[in-house]
Amino acid sequence: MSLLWRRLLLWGSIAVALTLIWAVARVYAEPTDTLDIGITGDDYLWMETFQTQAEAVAAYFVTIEPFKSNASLMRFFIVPTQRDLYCSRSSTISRVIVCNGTVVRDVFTEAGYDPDKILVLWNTSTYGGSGGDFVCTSYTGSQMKPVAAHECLGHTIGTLADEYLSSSFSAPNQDTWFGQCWKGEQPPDYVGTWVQRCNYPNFWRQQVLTSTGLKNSLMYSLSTPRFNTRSIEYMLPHINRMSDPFRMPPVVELAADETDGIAPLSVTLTARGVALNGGPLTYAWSWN
Amino acid sequence: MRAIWRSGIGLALACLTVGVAWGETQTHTYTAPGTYDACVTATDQYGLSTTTCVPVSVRGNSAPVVELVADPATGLAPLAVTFTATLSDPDGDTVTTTWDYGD
Repeated sequence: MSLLWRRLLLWGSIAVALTLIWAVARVYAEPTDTLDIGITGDDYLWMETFQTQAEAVAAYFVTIEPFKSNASLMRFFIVPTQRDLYCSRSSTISRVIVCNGTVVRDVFTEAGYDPDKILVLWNTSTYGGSGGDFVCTSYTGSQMKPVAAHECLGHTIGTLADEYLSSSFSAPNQDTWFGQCWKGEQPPDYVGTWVQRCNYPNFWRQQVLTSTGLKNSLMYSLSTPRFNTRSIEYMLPHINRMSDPFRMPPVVELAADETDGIAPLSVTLTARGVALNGGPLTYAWSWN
Repeated sequence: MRAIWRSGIGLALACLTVGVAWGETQTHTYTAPGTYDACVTATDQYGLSTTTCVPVSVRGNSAPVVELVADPATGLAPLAVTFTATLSDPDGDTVTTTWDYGD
C-alpha cells in the first residue's frame, strides 16, 4: 500500500473516530463534574481497530462497580493519534508497559480535552500493562479489557494495591491498611472472608461471597471482573477527588443463631455492615 | 501487575480510608409456626440503603407417637401383665411417660 493511501485511510479513520467521541461520552454521562477518562492508542495502522478496542474497553469499565452504578458521572474521550507515544517495555519487568506521559498528555491537550486519567492501548499482542499516577497502559491481546480495568480502574484511578503475591518476603505487621490490604497478624474486624497473601505473604485480602461462592478481586485475578467491598470503599475517596461523588449503597452481612426450630423460637440476628460512602449506618429490623 | 505508583504513594493515601464495620444485634421470638424472612435494612448518611434477609422456619410442636403392647392381653386374675411402650417424637423432643393401668 502506498504511503499516500495509508495516510488517506488513517485520516479518514480519524475523522470517523472523532465523530464518535461525543457519542461515546453521551452514552455514559451528562455534562457535569465527571470522571473523565481519555483513551488513545500507539502503533495502530488501522484507526477503526483502535476505535473498536477503545469503545470495548470503555463499555467494559462501566460494567464493574463502583463505576457501573456511577456511569452517569463518567465520560470517555477516545482520541486516535498518529503520533509516536514511545510505548515500550520495562527492561527489568517485561510485562510492564510504559509510554511517554508528556506526549500522551499533549495528544489530548491538542484535541481540546483535559481528562483526569489516560489509558494508552499499545497495539501489541504481547501481554502487559501498567498503572501509573496519570497514565495507564494495556496491551491489546485477548485479556486487554481486564488488564486495562486492573491497571486504570484499580491502580491509576482507585489507587489500589495488587492483591496477588508480588513479594516473596513478609512485611511488618502494623494492624493498619496497606491500600485495600490489611497488614496485621489477624484478619481485620470487617465484613467478608479474609485470606492471607495480599501483595505480601502476611497481608490479608478480602473475598466476597456471591451466589456462586467466594470471589476474589480484579486486583487478584483477571478472571474476576469485580472489585471487593473493601477495594470499593478504598477507591471512592480517590475517585471523588476527580468527579462529583460516586456513591454506593451499604454492604451488610446478616447472621442468625437459629433458622429452623419449634415455636416459640427465639432468633438472634447479628448484622455487620460497611458504609461505603463513609459515616455511620442505621439499622431497621423486620421479622415478617 | 505491579503498579508504578506503589513507590510510597499508596501508604500516603491510606489515611483517607474509613474502614469501619458497623454492627448491631437484635433478638426476636416467633410464637406461631410459619416461614418468615428476618431482615435488616442498613441506611447510610445519604439515605442509600441495602436490605438483607435470612429465612426462618418455625414449626409447631407435634404430639409424640406411642405404641403400647400388653403381654398377655387376657387371663385369669390375678394377672401379671407386662406393658411395653414404644415412643417417638416427630420433632425429636425428649419424651416422658406416665402410666395408668385403669384398675
